Amino acid sequence: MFDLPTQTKKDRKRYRWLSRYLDKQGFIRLQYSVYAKVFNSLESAKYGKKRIKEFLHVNIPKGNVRMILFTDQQYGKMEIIVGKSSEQEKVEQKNLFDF
Amino acid sequence: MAAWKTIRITKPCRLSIDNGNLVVEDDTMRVKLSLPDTDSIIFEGDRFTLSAKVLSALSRHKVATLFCDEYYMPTAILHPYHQSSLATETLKAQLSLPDELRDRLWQEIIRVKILNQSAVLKHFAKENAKLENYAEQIRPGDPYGAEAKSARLYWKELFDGLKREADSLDVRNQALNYAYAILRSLITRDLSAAGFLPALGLWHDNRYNAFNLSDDLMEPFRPIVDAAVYLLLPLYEEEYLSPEFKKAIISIFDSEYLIYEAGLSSLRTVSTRYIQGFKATVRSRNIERLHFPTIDFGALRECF
Repeated sequence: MFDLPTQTKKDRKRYRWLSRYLDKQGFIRLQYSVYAKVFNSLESAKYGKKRIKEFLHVNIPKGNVRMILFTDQQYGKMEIIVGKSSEQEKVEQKNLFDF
Repeated sequence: MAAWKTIRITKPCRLSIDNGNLVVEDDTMRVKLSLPDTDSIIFEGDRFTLSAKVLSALSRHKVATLFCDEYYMPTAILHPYHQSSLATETLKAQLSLPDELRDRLWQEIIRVKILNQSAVLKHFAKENAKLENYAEQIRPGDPYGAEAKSARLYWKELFDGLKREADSLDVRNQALNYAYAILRSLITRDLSAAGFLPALGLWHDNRYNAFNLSDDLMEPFRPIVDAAVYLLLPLYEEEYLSPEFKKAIISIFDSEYLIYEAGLSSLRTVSTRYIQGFKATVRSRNIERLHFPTIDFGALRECF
């Protein structure tokens, strides 16, 4: 989850850097400024978190960025009140992507 | 980060790379898949299009890639060009492997294979004491062909009178061929990634085979795959290899029923660690560094 300033041209550039970087790392956009990624172990999740942190320290000096770790079960319990989950989101948690 | 996803493409679609991710799309959908998370990809059917960029990205991320023909049987694998940082050193160690160590390695591989075969037969109550004798008799380099003798016995016992053939229409043969092809692509990927040349084998030495070393090293895994296929067969009674059956065969590689270095893990994980062990052996010339997998039949039964 993040809120980044978008007043100046430079701010908007930083914003795009972050969203591009998240995409490259395999994160999917759940909603505007809310990104998620499925990891298959706690260890790799910690490693993924570390990489994002490093990127943020170098490139994003201001704004508000948060990260939270869910278990698979906790994530599954999430209720969607309005709207629905995207096709991409459904695909994300599967071991075998069959098309 | 360990890769854990398998992709199977059967319908007509377009594949491309966007910002480092693999994009699969047709007229109705568009899905992005992260390549570092992808362990293997199987292309079935021939009505998809993909660019050279996709192939090079798959190879760069060391994704085990398998292409199938019009009968949906695997025909080609994409094997990554060497990208290990110590590739040259590993290759030199492989090329200068002393004959004694080569023979000892082959002996050990075959011994474990026969013991695994014997364990499989024992579990399915088709025990044959001859197999364990063969395992004991085996000498470095297997000069008396214990491997061939045990194979003949084993196939006859496990699958009633089955004759192993490459192009057989027998569903048992097709299922085994499909599973072996996936196994082979995993092993080849791991070998290439570790810096080995898969064409130069320990024992297999067919000049038309580009994967002699893969065929050598996958031997101990064959009985493991056999046991899983054996358990799957009664669940799918079709005369041919149905799409559901193939999906189940792919799941063989993700289920955790292998005992390796005192822990339980999946074939996918073990394959990578096994090749790392082989690399350590070849480089240090110390056979103790190579460990072999065995089956936990209890865990195997729970998977199906």
